[in-house]
Amino acid sequence: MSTTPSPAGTPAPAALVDPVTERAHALLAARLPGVVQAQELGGRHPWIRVSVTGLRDALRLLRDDPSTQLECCHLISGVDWPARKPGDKAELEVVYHLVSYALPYDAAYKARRGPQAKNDPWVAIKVRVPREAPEVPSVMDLFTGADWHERETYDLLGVRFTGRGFVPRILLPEDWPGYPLRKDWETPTDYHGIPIVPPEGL
Amino acid sequence: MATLDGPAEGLDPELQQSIILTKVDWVKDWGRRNALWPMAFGLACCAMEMMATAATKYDLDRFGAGVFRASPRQSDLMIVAGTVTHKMAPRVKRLYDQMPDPKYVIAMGACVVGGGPYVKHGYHVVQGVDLVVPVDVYLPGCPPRPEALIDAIRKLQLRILQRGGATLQARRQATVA
Amino acid sequence: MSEPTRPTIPAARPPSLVSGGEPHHASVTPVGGVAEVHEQQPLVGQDLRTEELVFNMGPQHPATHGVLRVVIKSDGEFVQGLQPHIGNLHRCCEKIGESVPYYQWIPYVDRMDYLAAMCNEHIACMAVEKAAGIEVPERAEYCRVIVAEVQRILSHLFAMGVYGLDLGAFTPFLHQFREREKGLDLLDHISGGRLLYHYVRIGGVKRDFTQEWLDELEAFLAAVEQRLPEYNTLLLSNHIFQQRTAGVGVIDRSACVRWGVTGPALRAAGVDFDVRRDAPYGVYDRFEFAVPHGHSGIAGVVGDCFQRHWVRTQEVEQSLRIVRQALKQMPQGPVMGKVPKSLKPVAGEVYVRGENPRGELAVYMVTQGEDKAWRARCRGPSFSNIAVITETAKGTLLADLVAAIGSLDIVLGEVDR
Repeated sequence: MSTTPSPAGTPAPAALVDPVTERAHALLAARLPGVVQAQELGGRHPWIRVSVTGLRDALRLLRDDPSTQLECCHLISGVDWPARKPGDKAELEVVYHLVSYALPYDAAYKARRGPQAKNDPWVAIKVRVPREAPEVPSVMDLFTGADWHERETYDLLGVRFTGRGFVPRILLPEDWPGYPLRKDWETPTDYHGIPIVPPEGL
Repeated sequence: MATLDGPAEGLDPELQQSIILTKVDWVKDWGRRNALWPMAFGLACCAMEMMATAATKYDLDRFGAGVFRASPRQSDLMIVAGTVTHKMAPRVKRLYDQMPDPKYVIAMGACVVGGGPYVKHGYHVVQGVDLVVPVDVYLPGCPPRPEALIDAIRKLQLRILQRGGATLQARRQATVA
Repeated sequence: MSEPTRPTIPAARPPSLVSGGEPHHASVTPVGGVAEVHEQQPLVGQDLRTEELVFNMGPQHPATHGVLRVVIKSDGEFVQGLQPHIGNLHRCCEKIGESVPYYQWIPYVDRMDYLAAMCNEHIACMAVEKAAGIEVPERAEYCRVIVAEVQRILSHLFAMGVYGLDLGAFTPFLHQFREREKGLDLLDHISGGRLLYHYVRIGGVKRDFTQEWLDELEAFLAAVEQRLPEYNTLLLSNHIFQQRTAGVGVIDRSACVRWGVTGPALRAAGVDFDVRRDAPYGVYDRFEFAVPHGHSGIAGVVGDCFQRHWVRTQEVEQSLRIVRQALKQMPQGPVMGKVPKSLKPVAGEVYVRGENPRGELAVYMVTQGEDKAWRARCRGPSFSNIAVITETAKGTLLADLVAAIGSLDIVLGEVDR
């Protein structure tokens, strides 16, 4: 299943469209016009990409509106997309997976089985920021648990979350060099005198 | 035989060979090896096997080493069970320094023996705890079975019997000096 | 903080017994060679200098379930604020997912939640299979469910025993290890490892069950069922345990949902949700089982430590039910699907979540047509579960903090990955 985004406004084939993502997309398109940049409403991983400036409003709407009630930020992931071909933009992507514990689960959802189907009602919201200046507004005040996920995304990928003051590292020591999950990160030879590079022969 | 223990230094050489001093050292070492007090220092998965070794089926208490102390100041054996990361390494060193002499270290598990499964791509894993503290017994396994840990403790007890109770560090310093 | 002032000193006390500002309750004044004890008024509340103390709990601590460091600011025994510091067990699982092929990454996933290794493998293999479009044979799905539920029983037994240990009760720990050893031998016989298995593989499971193993499984289930009332008597009916845990460490529904707390902690807060029932994966939709959640009919307050423990004991019973149903329904057939020798899923992404004993483990995998993942992001449930104490443990006693951390049943391997 490819991830080429369908242009906004073109509906995916009805049989494959995910009802939860479709509802979220309709809500965003109606109440926050211009925020949705791209979406994929079907397949095994539907997603909605929003602009960086509209991220907080979009997540707040999805959280508070009674038709979606996506009150739990399940996971925040960062993905590194360096420029592989000339002409590509080097970007960092932050993906928010939101779930709801308030809405009853649709029995038809349970019938969607198989490796290509999505049978779990979560919604994925993505933002892309340039790799040289990766600044994303923090959603810590909307979802308290986003605090630690944002710290981890900063720690491992260097995404800077604005609007929340100083973002300390969470998994790595404070003076660790660089952001290890970036594709161009080089493993240092040692850390405070303890070697990191494995011995010869491995 | 008594050269590394404090009380025997400075004594008349003839007296050092006397039977009474040798017997006292033997009794001290007998006590040290049959009443090892480990520090409860479980870091990761190997800690679960260490707990299983201390539990009912593979009772570690029958070898004298069942009294797990929470504080390093009261223990003489540090079983480093689990992966040591760079963030944790200064704490491991500090805990080792806080233990009173004579002290022993068992490196339990492949991660602390030499990096284990994280040796190639684990940037945050210390490739073996002997880069941080001196180790007496290396115990490979991922995780080692409780029987293997019992074997490691028996080997440590055998080493104390054969070489005396002084710690590895003191022996190293003695050979250097 | 009050102004530091010296306590009033009665004239009869010799100056040598006074050391600046320390409270005394009695002083011994030798008078003519005979010591007399003067009883003094307690100095509590009388210009007593108190200070807030900032100290570490961990990373080496018998009750933090691993290398968790909690920096606590306390006023005497009352916790004013706390901040967990994690990362002492960060073993680069996600970077390894990007560095080695998929089938080599699965054993590293075991080590995230090392007490529920079969369940971790199940979720990770599901993610890879979904990304690559691999069909898993039906018998293999049943095998996965059976070992995952046995693993859940073992994990909950461990959690129950170690929780007693945290609170000072040594006996339940020894008792539960008796059944746990039987279960570990069982999983050892099918997979080769006691704690970390690499049994669930991409496309199915490694080895089929033999009749001998199934008999051993029946014996294990019977043993657990027989002993479960004993464990409940040791802890749940124990009035000391109830006093230590009922009403303590309350995490209500709002805190759970805001912080992303999942699993037994979420269910103890009254939320009737279980991924196995509500968003089923594998063959979980073919089994009938109840989802225990906290309510006011049992001891304690909804969302407190007691109800979290109670939910776990009930889940053990439900897991026994699921395993028995699976044994009846299991069809014959192969246990490994068709997996290409060089596994290169097309470019895409998947998000898979499953119900681990500690909460919802999720894997977000981005593939780019190579033999390694482009991004293998894992969500360990204990990551969010431990973050919640930053808010809910303020104002509690230190002993209650230990009870709260123990009841959340965290495993640092999946907090730090």
